[in-house]
Amino acid sequence: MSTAVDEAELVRRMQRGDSSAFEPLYRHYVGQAVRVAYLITGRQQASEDAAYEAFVRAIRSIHALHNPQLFRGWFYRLLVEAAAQRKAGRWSFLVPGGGRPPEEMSPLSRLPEAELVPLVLSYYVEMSPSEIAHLLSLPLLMVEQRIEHARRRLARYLAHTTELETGLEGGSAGAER
Amino acid sequence: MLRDDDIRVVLRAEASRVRVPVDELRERIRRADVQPERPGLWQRLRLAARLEAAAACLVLGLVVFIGSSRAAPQAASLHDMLRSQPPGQVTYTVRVRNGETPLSGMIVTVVELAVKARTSVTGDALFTLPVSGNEGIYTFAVTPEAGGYTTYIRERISPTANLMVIPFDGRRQVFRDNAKPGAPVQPGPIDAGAPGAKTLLQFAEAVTGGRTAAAAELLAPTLRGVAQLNDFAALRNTPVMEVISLEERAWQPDLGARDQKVAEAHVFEFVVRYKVLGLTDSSFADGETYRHKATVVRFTAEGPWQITELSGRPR
Repeated sequence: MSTAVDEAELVRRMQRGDSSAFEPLYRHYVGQAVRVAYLITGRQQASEDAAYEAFVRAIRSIHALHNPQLFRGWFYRLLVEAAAQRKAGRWSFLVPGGGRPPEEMSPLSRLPEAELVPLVLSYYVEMSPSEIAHLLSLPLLMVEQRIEHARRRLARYLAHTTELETGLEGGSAGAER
Repeated sequence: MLRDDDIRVVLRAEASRVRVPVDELRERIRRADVQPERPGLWQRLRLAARLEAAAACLVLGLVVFIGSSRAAPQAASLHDMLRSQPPGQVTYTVRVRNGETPLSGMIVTVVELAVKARTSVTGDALFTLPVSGNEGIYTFAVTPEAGGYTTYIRERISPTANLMVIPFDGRRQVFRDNAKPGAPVQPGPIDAGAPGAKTLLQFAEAVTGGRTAAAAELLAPTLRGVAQLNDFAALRNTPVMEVISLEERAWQPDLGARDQKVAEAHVFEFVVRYKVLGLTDSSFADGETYRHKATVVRFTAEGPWQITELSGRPR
């Protein structure tokens, strides 16, 4: 799908009841949807489930989208909601880091969800802070602050792991939060 | 400080770990046979009114544009549009008790809607309540039919949180706000007699007693396998699981694997206060109380009860 106009047209077709319009939308979004959900949840099954739920909710509520040009933001909102529910929903203390051995744990798992979601939307989905603010119903300033906090936290964590890996510091190996 | 490109590299590297099952997901969606829900007449009228008002504010703040179908959607925020989805409903049960005794004939009022119901012989009053975005917050007031002190409880409701037990105290006025984040948790009933409930209590005891192997034995193979990945470090990292309440709920069980066949399954609301040592990246905070949905199953009619699900979030 080359332009937003094509996407809007597909949404309009879906709203008119043309179910064949879903397939190109699905193909365009499925990869990114699963990956974004994975960045938020950190788990394969949860990311598949979140993407599935976002698509199902998008089909069901397609008539609620009154400006088809806004489909992208609207869909990501559904996806982020579904992923955030799954991130909180498992008894994840059984599996710190989502089931991976500690040495393979993602630095993203150290970020609070409130900071992780804007960071992912900003640097992975490449949304502007104002788009994210709109999508998450948050003030623009708050979104900018959360992205900045996430950057700092990530930088601290990555610096910390590098120090441990290079053996420059033999001291505390406690995870930084 | 990290450069923007460094962050992108981290995110891309992390995202590349996931498998994207394009065909499998499409098949799941196809099997679900989902159809678009057409907006009802009332919703369309309400939305039209909202969009017109938004357009009017943009132009002069005075003029109302009727039938302006192009300008209006740009004026309405995404949030507004999502809120305009048809509201869902939750069938909610309020169960009034005095200790273990169900209280019948009590008047339960949903304060925000001014809707009343009388509790049945089992102490239950049923309501169908509108929710927005799958969730709603309502205040339930319980008063004896003959009058007297009232117990008010403000509660967050959703399709999965569809039952509340109110321990009624007729000697004083009570107001409790459970919907507020971080609200204090009152010890509730522990329904140890329900099938499978003992397994959850034994699990909490085993974890608290440091008997990790015994605790792990009570988990179903799928959940045990997950815990084993980290050599049960998370169980060992939890010196105390203090059970606050345990009650059976009519929720959908999570059997741990698709198409899993079980002889019997029971779902509980399991409220637990944790102490954790902070040795691992636990998602639990030390001293915090969590409300879990717990599923306990028997794979065969005579088999042992095992836990297939323990999910939840802080209260």
